[in-house]
Amino acid sequence: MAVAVTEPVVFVLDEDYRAVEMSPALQAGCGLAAGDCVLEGLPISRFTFVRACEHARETGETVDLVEYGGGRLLQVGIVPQDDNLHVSWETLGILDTLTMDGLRTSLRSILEILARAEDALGRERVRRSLRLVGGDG
Amino acid sequence: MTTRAWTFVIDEDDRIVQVGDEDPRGMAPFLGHQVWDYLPKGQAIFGPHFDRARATGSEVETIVYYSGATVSVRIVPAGRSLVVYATRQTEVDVRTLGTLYSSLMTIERELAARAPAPPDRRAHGSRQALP
Repeated sequence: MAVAVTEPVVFVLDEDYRAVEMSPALQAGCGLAAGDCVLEGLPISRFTFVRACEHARETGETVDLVEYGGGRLLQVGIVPQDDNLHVSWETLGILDTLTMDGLRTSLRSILEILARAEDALGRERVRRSLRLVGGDG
Repeated sequence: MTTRAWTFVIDEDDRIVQVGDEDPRGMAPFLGHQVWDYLPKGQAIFGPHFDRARATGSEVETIVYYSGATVSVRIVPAGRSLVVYATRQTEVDVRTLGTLYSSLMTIERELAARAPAPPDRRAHGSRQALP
């Protein structure tokens, strides 16, 4: 089954997507060093990530994503702070490709987690919209 | 698609007794070990085909899924040993859900198209088939 395994990855990005600070997990996992542009080493879609970062910068809002990439299901959080973005990601599941049974089970689990996450994110978006409409946001 | 072939020989106790010269998959350190040390969880996948080759004394060819790819396997009985020729065919492409889906479709087609097991011609005349 797909399981959460690794410690969360945390890093701070400047406006050019260079890592100003990063957790040891990111350095070890991606071979990146401080000052490197992280876009090349992303496990998720670069397009999705950049669009989410742009949204966070433009609105000043935190962006939460659950994305599949490179055999992993990742929960990504993007928090704008001054000119930088604080990004964290955590592995929610890993695809087990060893056997067909393992592949089936882990893929089913990943798709279930993804569906639940999309539901939850959708509900959160609706709540935010309602707060904005209601003037509470 | 990547194609990678490797060859090994196992004895009657499933121990690896010989590895092909090229050894692209780093099998040499497992010489003398049970092949299942090298192929974790592989017994349920490869074992029945090894058993069939031993029981019939005939060559067995099949395609299985193992370790992220379809693997074409040819098993040739040689005395009490089995010579196994394996070739990785279509790899699971885990990059995105799209590539994953597409590669799984190809894999599913390959597995569905594998030839059904040939009838065991020796079974009727073999002593094993007699009560």
